[in-house]
Amino acid sequence: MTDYVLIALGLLLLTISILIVRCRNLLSAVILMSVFSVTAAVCFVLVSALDVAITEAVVGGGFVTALYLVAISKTRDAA
Amino acid sequence: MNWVIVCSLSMLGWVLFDAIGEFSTREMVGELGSYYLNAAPTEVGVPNVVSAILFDYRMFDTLGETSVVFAAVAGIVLLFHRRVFESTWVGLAFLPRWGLGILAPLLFTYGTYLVLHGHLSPGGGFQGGVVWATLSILMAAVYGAGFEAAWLSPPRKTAIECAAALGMLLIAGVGIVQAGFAFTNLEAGFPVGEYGRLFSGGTLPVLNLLSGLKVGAGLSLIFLSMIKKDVEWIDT
Repeated sequence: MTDYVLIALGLLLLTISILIVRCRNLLSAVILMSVFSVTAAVCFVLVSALDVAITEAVVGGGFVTALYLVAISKTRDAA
Repeated sequence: MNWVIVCSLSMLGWVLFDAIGEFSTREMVGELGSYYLNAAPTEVGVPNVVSAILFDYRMFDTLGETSVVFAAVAGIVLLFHRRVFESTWVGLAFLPRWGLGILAPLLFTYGTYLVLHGHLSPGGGFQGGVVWATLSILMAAVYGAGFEAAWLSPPRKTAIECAAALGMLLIAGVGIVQAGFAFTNLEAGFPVGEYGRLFSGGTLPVLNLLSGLKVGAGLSLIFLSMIKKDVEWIDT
């Protein structure tokens, strides 16, 4: 059962990463990267790597997203 | 050019495709891993084996990683050095202000829980510190950097980071004096405490707290150094 869920999540990760690369809007790309991190964290929980899951969710879903959002909002006027 | 990219990517995919089959079939735990799993509850006295490896058996590696973060923060602060930080009180609109007002206590509690319970449940100093740094960045973005700096100014963050690094080295020094190795935990005479309680595991909670403070202050300092300054911040 876990294997099938992992395969489905892996395909979802693949789809999200293609969407991130193809996305034209920077804000949507950042939010998609956050979604990617949370999905990867769910994968880590399923293979019972809880510490890695927390790190992935906190760094990828929280810190990096906040940094990117602030960077985009700070450079919007200059672009 | 496109042809080269497609070729190299398909070769990488071919290599990784073989690795997928190897991934899920491994059920055995190696010799070192089973030693850690058996010995960590008695030798270190904490339920979270990952934390026991990070902050006891392999603490010297963790010190190296911590000093990498310290060097990065020091380099960025040196590169973007100024005595005035952005201290605007202009933030975002009504809805983000109220949203973060509700979210901020929860985020702070979550980060503090991760740091303080790092030796009992999954999590630890690094993760909790990143949560604290994220909270600081969100505060600076939503309420304005001046509001955030009024809580904890950049010079104070520098002081916290340096004090935490020195505290880690102090614990290493105590280990060297007491038992002959850096970061020896229980052999150096630190109290074990009751298994599974908040105050247990010798130096582990202290090291978790120190690395949490260090990572939180350092990452927040990186962010505050890199945003552009608007108004003067009076250095204390």
